[in-house]
Amino acid sequence: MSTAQVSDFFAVLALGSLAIGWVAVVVVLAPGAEVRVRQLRPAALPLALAIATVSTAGSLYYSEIAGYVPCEMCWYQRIGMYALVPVLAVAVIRRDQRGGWYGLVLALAGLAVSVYHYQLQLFPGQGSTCDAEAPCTYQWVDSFGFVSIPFMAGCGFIGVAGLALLSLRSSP
Amino acid sequence: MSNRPKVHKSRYGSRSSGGSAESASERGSNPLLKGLIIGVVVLVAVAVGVSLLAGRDAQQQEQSEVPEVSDVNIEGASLPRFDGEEPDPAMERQAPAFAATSFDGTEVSVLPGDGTAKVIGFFAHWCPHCQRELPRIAAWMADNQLPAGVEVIAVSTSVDAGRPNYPPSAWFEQEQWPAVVVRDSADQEIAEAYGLAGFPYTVGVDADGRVVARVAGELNDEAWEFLVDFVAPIPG
Repeated sequence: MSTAQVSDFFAVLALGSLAIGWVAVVVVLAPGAEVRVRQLRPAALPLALAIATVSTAGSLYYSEIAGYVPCEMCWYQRIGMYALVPVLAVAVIRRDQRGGWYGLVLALAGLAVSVYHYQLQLFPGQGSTCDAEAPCTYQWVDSFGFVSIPFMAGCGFIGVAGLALLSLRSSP
Repeated sequence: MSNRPKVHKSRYGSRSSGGSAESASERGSNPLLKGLIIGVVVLVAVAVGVSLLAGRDAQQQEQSEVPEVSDVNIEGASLPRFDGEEPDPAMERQAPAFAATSFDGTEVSVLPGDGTAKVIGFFAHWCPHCQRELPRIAAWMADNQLPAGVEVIAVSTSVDAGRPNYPPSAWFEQEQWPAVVVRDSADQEIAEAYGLAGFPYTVGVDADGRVVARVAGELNDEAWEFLVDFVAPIPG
């Protein structure tokens, strides 16, 4: 299986995570949310954990197997995404809904970096120099014409943030 | 006294006062949760299907008719990596000499200290800043005369067929680069020897072969003009 095929696989999952995140936010904000929140709550943090774990696995695939050198912005996003895995895992194992707060903060911080990184790729003429080893402006992955690695990371963060919000919405 | 747990009637149905908020029967008939699980399974299946059907293995990278990298020969000690440190530790150090080839295979020897001052520019075809700087310098050189005793050499380096604006030979031709251009090796030996850390990268070498300026980043016309005047030998 080629790296391009693996990228398409992760790209579809990322778009799914994006959809899950938005749906979770809509569920939380829509009128009569209590019933839906109560029904979906058991899956919120486990699903957020799954998204963070798959995102971390994807990140490691690109750097350790595909050989793509992570740039500075990639490392900042890794800090957020990698930390989400143990934080959410502990929250799920201990059935601690407060884990949603930690997940939400990490996901929103990571999302901010992802958005900045993605726009750097869209408008690479910012600044005046390109790092010789790992330029942040360079797109290693370009699935479907718009899905790059920071785009995928951003989708992962949105999925986690939406689900964390869902878990918090039903907290007493 | 009954051992049955207390049950509160809420607006949304019964909730047990002990343990989980959702009873086993509630979990069993939870259409949203079932839908979510089915949705995730479908998502993974679609992802697998898309990646298998994409069949992008056959996608061909753009081919180049000429070799875009070539063997080079370097003599002299390498300059320290340029990380913006002030003062630059490479100042007044002897620049390394190198022999390389241009895109048409012509051998080019760059010998610092041969009496001609040099401005050596390092460009990567995929770098957007290089893509802006190269035509700007080409235009300046078309409209202006270099100071006496100064030559300009471009080094095409960090070549990657999978990155944008490949091949660099076509890029230099398209921009009508008016000066010498040489190809670096696949291992970017010339760039390494000159301490490159970022693109575009420009090194000024005086007529005695000493490094007098190193700049990373785009140069506007004023900065470029200052640089070529700065490295020029003083008449007399």
